[in-house]
Formats: sequence, C-alpha cells, structure tokens
Amino acid sequence: MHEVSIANALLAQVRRHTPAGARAIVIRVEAGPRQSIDGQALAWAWEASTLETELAGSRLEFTALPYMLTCRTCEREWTSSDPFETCTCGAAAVSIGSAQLRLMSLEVESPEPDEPQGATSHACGSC
Amino acid sequence: MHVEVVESVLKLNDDVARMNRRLLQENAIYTIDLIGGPGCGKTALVENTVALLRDEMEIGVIVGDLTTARDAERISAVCPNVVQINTGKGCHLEAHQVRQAMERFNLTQLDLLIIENVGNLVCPVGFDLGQNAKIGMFCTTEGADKPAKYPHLVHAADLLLLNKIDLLPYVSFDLAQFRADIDRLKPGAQVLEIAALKGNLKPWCEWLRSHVRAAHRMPEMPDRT
Repeated sequence: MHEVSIANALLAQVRRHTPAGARAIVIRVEAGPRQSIDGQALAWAWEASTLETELAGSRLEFTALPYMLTCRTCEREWTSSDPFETCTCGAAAVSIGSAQLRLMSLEVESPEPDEPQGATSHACGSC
Repeated sequence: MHVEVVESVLKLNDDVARMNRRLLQENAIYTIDLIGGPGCGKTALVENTVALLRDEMEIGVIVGDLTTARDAERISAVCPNVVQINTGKGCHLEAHQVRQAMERFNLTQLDLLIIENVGNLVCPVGFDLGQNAKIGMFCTTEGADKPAKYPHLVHAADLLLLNKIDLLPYVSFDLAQFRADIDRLKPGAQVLEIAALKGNLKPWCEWLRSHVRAAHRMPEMPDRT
C-alpha cells in the first residue's frame, strides 16, 4: 500500500503548483508499470489524504502507462498492459516497463468573484 | 483553469536519494538495496555475507522492518555497523529514512553499505534510496512463478538472486520456467544461485567484491592491516 505515501507526496506537490487563492478540482497523474500502482488504491489514498483539507472532494485521474514490447523475431513494436503478450507473428517479445510517476496537470477553480461594486449595489454604506 | 505540471510525484524522495548517492560516492561506498519477499532469506544473506567479507572490507547495514529490532540484533552479532529502521505501517524504505540512518555511521570508514528493505516484492521497487544497485531476491520455496507475478522487480533489479538453491531437490520448483520467465522479461538478466543459510555465496561475494573495487576505482582492495 505504497499508494498512501504517494498520495501524501502528491498533496504537497499539488499545493505547490496551485495558483494562490485557487483550488485544484482535478489532478491528473500517470505512472509506468514499475511503480506498481493500483489506480483504485491511489484514489482511496487521495480521498483519505485530502479529508478535511481544501482539496477534499477533488478528483484524481490516474493513467497507467502500458509496457513497451518489441518482438524478438520480427521487431514489431507495440504497447500492452501484459508484459508477456506474444507478437502477432507468434514469437515472444521483450517488454520494458517505465518507472516514471508524474503529476501531469491540474484543473483549478478560482474563488467566486466578489459582488461587483457600483450602480446595481445598494448604497446603505453600513454593510 | 488548466495548469500544466509534468513533474515527478516522488521528486522530494528523488532529490534526497540524489543527495544520498552523492554522499556515498564521495566516500567511495558501494551501496545495494536488497529487495525480496518476507522469508526469502534476506537477513540470512546479510549475516553470512558480512561474515564472509568482513576481513576484506568495512560493511554497514541498514535494515527496514515494520516493527521489532530482531534483524538488527541478528546482524549485530557479526557486524558492529547496523541500524534498524522501523517503518510502522510503511511497506517500503524511503530515501529520507536511509539518510537519517546514514548519520549513524562513520562514512569515511565504510566500503559497502547493504540496505535490507522491508520484505515486499512490490512497493520498494519504485523508491530510489541512492543505491548503486537494486538486488531482487527470490527463493525456491516461494515457487517459480514469482518473476512472472512480480515483473516490476525483475525490470528494476540490476542483479537477481535465487536463494535456497540447496532445497531444490525437496521442493516443487521449475528452474527452467523460472529462468525462462526472467529471460522473457529481461533478456540477459544476471541470476545468481545461492544458499544463504549454508553460506554458499561464492558467486555473490565475487560480484560484491568486483563492484566494491570499482567503487574505489582501485585494482585491488586497500590493505587495512
């Protein structure tokens, strides 16, 4: 369950990249196979890590990157979630799994703008 | 508003790992991160490796477990330089924990640092600690299908060990399948067969000697007598 420590690292990172006064509502993360991340476990870990913070209710979108496979016989290259998938020619393949784990982007919302001042506002001067 | 980021989530861990690596290199210490499942023989390997090599080089050991100092107590019988890290609920070691443990050693004296990670074939794989090599450890009693079931460790490891090879006649273990799965995942991957508890560690000790020598950038080990 290393997803918990990943979620905690992500929390600090999201805060660092969120513009002042804004709030992140969608967090996009992608990871290669070598990170062994379960997307559902990471989503739960994110929900737990953000409880009672300004990020509570934000959505984590996780993309699992596939293995890169190269056929040992015909050298065809393709991607798959199965490192043992055989080539269409029937031969075995060499698989490479990326170790990267990256925060790709955020969707942030700004706070509601203040009530415009001017002609439409009442002018009691006391509130 | 869309904010493009594209930055490693483990940037902080990676930064600390880089600091660890620099400090270890400055002190010419070769460092391994030993990863394997619970009960595969990691601690027995550390004990007997230290016993076999301690007259040739100075060895430090950092050992990670959720609780207890039992491994450190075992290893301290053969090695004075041992630090236990208790991770609590943590399923793997992180670079800052290794950094804190490194503070307990006189680094100028060490030639080899062995980090025995928490028993786990999954989580430790993705965390850089500042090591020179990740060592993936399997054993004959856990079955031949482990490389296929845990391919990430095979991909990440610089060297693979198959322990408890002395038990091969007594267990159901398909050595050909084990090797074929590794070869499919990582052609040319080096696999050493060992029996840690029996001290049958010749190829492993040779591997370590050659890498420690390379870390010293010297043809032979320094004469400490």
